[in-house]
Amino acid sequence: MTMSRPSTAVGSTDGSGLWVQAPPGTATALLASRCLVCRRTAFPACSPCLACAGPTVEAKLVGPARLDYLTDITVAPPGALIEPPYRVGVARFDDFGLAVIGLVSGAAARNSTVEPFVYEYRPGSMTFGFREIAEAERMTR
Amino acid sequence: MRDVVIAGVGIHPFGRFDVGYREMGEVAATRCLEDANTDPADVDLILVANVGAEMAKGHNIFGRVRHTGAPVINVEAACASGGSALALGASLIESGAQKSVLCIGVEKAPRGFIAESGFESWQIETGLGVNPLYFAIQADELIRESDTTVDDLADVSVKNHGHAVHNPNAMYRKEITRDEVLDSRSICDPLRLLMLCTPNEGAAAVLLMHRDEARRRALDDSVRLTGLGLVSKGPDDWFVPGASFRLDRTRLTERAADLAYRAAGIGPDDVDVVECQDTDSASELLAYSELGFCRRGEEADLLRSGATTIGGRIPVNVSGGLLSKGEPLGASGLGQIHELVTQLRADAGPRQVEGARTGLAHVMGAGHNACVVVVSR
Repeated sequence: MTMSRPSTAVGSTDGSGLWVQAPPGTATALLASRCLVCRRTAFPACSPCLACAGPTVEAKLVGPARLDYLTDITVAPPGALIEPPYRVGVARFDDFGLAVIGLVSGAAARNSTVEPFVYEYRPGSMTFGFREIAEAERMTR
Repeated sequence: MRDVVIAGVGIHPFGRFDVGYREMGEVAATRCLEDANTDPADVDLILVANVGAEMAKGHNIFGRVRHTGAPVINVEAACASGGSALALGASLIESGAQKSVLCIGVEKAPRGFIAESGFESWQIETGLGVNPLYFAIQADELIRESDTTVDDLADVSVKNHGHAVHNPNAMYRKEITRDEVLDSRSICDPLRLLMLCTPNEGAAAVLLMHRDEARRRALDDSVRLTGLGLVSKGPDDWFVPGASFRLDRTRLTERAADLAYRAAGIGPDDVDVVECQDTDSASELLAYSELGFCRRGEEADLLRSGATTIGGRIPVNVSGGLLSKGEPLGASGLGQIHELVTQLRADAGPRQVEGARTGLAHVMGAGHNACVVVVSR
């Protein structure tokens, strides 16, 4: 299938091409693409492949991923709508050979196993984030 | 490359000033032309590197120098703007298309975070548009994958501030201690405030001239631009503002360095002095291996050995680097060339690298740009 590159995901609830629509606070999948020729996974998705121009298919990045990096952001950068402090990390999806930068929920620790979820970063505004899978299981119980 | 002479250099100090970018650019250009003993009317082409100023910025600068009718072209490639202008100018001279090209770099950056580094709107609005975050991810990776410590990151800043004490064109000229760096505010773990450069103001200029033209004018042709590597994003590169990266990603600086060494016909062992993109302390350490001065994972050993301090085997950022000079984005790359030429002329005073005959400059910018330049005497 072909996918267009999202121009924005802010304030949307449908993922705007970045993640699979789901209610806030629930698990989701990141919408990546996989090239049928060079086999590279890309996030955000692209079509055709930006590396080799080959055709791509949809690839959904779901957990478990490993939280390789984690930091607190205490000063908002220009244009940010999220209120600091907030947390940002790098989730490593070994099966796809890819690491993704995103918001991280408060409880996740470095090196923990995480999954993408729909992060309501201010009332009514969604983006994707990463949370510890153990945390998700606790929420389910 | 054999025919590109660096006929002159000029600089307006880096820091914070009450004058505009036009005035700073004019100062650097005028000093450069005076240094080259060349009249503005003898410049065939003017390339102006800048990121944040208004339209026709280069025209507004050179319009204060002389109305010669020579074409002015503005060049923008984020932190690699100066290197990109230099690369374009050198290529035009080497090819014989131009006899003399004046490259001017200038910036008057606002205080605080650099905005608009190419992030998508969803990255900006969700708070991911933080430049230091992307440097911190690399710093953290370096610590995880080698024996580099946070103390080493602090020591890069200590070293470069020590070098800057003797550079009148640097913004910060006071020595600092490891504890001062470590005690400064955390920006993005593991980077503290004093491990990051300050976007600021300044200008630098370099006059490139074909060797035949320099000789015809009886100018000093002893300092030459002999190697050049300029690259942008390849399939597996990652830098600001990439939202994701491949686990087996490639390095822009390695490719740019390889091109520059090949063009110059030299290797890393032939380099005497280096000015590299120390946007943050870890970026300098990464450059050690990416430029070929050590193997991957041995960056901290090279620093600890003293090799990259003035007096060592391969002194790096003898000007104080961006960590001490600050980073006026459009000017920083040409400021590096100003320092290397000063070193190769043996005019650097207390910060002189003895016997320096080959220098290497390296810049890297948002949007995935890297430029490596070899300067030889």
